[in-house]
Amino acid sequence: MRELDQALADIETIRHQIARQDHFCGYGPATLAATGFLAAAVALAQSISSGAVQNPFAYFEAWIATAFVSALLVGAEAIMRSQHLHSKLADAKVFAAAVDFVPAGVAGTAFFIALIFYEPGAMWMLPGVWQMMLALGFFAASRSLRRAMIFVGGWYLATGFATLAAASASHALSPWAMGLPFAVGQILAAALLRRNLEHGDER
Amino acid sequence: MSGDAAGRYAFDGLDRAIHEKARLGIMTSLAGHPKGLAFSDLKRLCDLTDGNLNRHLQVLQDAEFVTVTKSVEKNRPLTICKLTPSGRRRFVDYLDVLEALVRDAREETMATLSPRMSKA
Repeated sequence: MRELDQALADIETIRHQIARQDHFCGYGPATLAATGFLAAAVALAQSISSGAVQNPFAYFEAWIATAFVSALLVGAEAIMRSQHLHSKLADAKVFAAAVDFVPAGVAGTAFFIALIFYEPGAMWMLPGVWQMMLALGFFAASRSLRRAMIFVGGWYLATGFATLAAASASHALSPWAMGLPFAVGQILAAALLRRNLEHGDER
Repeated sequence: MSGDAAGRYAFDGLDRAIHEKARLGIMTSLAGHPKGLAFSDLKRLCDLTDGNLNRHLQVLQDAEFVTVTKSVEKNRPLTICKLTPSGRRRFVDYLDVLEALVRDAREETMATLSPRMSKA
């Protein structure tokens, strides 16, 4: 029995190994771009209603909800496209793609929780740190997605640094400190994905 | 037993070209390297002699599962072995059938063991 279990585990390992070596085609450019427009819309709404900026919890509630909706949209599309495009390797590929972003997501959430409990005064750092975390996710995903995704990671790393630098003096929360980097970053990711789909593999 | 469909255990997807220990090793090694592997690296990974590896590669080439490209790099001959897209697809299909076979064997073993265990 142990040999059979080991054989099943070996087959699963081989399948995951194959899945990790191929490009993941589950992310759709249109949905990625939509999440960028959603970020811009939330930033616009927050900049119009001044209350959100003065209340850090309202500010972050809106952005956590935006991140949740975006992840849900991208994740649902990734599963559906993967079932269609990768058929038998679909589950392994979705798992491999998720693994790239999960550590960055967990670290970003842990940092948020740590600030709430131990240093609420440093919440101004969150937009910049979240962008840097997302940069790590894109850098990790550049292997399973396309090498061009490194540019998106570079964008988020640069904006994360710039956002931290800009907010360091006033410690103020600006809607556009989240909206602009995420809108441009997601639309850039969508454009690069679309370019790859049109011009084939550049790996 | 009578409830099993005809051909339930035929396992037609177990391709003869792949279903050989050495060739299974070659296909697994190449599946993990989309850009291909040098002949010497493949030989080391699969623990095969030059002659054996050549023989098995020929079978896989004939089945159009593998391509072998010879070139010269830094004045040294370089042979790169790579899975073809159809080879990759057939290998994934093969894994599915193999997994089904092992699962069947596992269930049969469980069914055989459970009455004995309940008696004990």
